[in-house]
Amino acid sequence: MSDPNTNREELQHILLAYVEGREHGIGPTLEELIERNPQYTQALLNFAMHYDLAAERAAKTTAVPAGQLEPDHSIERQTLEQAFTQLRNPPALTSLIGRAAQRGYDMAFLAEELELGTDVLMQLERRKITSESLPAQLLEGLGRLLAVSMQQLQRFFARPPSTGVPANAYAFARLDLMPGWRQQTFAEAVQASKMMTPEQQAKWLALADAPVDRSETE
Amino acid sequence: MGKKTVARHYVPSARVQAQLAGAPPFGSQEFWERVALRDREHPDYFDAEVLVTALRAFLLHDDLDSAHRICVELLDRWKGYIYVQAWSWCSDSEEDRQDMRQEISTRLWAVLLNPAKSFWEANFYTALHDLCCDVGRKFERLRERECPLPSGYDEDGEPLDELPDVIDPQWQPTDELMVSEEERDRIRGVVTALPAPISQVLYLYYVKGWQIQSTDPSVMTISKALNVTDRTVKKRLALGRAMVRAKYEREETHE
Repeated sequence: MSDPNTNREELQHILLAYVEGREHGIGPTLEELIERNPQYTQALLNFAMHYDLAAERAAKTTAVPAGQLEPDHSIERQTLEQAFTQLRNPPALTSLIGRAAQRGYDMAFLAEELELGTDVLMQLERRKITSESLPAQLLEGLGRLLAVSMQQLQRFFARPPSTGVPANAYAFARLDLMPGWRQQTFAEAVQASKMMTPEQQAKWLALADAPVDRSETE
Repeated sequence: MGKKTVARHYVPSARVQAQLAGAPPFGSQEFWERVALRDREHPDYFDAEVLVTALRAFLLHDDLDSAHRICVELLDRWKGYIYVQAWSWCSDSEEDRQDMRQEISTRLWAVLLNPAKSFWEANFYTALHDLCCDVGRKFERLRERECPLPSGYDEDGEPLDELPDVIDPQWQPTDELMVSEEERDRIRGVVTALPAPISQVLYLYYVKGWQIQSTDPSVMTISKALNVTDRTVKKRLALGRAMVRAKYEREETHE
């Protein structure tokens, strides 16, 4: 018995050859394709008929070069515009760990992917590290894993540090208002980490010497 | 929590790595000139994987206009593929094909705009193929649930694609096969709604301009392609024209 998936893929390749021929004005003609693949005559004819007539309809509304007729692709364009509309209005990033959880990762896994200790990650989450000291590689890694832009990350790190307790719990809940408290640099946090291997620390300390260049993105 | 589903970093092929290594800065004029190249054999051509890598870099730096431009380019390159995929999974329903294209493209933009999906930077074709098959299988399951009637059969259960070859030797076409431009336009308008054996001959004869038969064996003709006699082709043409006319008149009466 023939494998329907194999047949489907074979047919798809033949139909693609037809489409490429129509779109770029080069490639095999319908006659040639039928000659070479008589077992797919019915499927080829049905496809070519729908494709050509859809292309003719589309050509009536849009100016296309002769010999390059193709059907209307407004469905794909519409979904693209919808996706970008959402992208242009991204929600504010309020928590690195919360965002990771939305994407199905836990804190330990996020730390492992970034080759950081969870203690450093917690300090990043609470913005106890100065944003100026964060290496570009760290921001890029976070952006990739959390699917957020550099701008979203920079806005997140620009906000005041958090204690991790509700703001109304104590009058001195804001760390930056506590006497004598100061934010650490990323290098200090890495050096003080008890959960990173010496190799991980060495890697990040080397990178921490070259903090992110913000002139390009601001 | 604890679902470790993050995409690993997939390594692109040596060809893609070489293209990335030799690529001008993303966003430069030279970069856009190379993005616009369509000839795959051109030494400066960028594979789709390079475009996806650039797309993710633009997204990371909030350059949404450039990201959008890359997406438009990717769509331009792959729209034919999506069309063919939708066709091969839903060949008998234009509505289903449109739904499938919508679902494929919605999912496509979601994964392309997600930098964690690094497989798209390593093997775009396989990723798109898998996505299309996934959507196709979903549509297949839905159709199996909704429609117990096998595709290719009419409401009475009669096969649509198996009109018998004409065996009546006395049959002759009753009128001329030539039609006016107006009638040709009518045929174009309704031909896809007719049963396949009829629509195929109408399309090949009136739209593609193929001959019914030829004395030259190297010429592809309608009777040769469909493996039927020229008499059958003529009968189907006559029947098809009658069906088009009836359909058109019915529509005019309703209006």
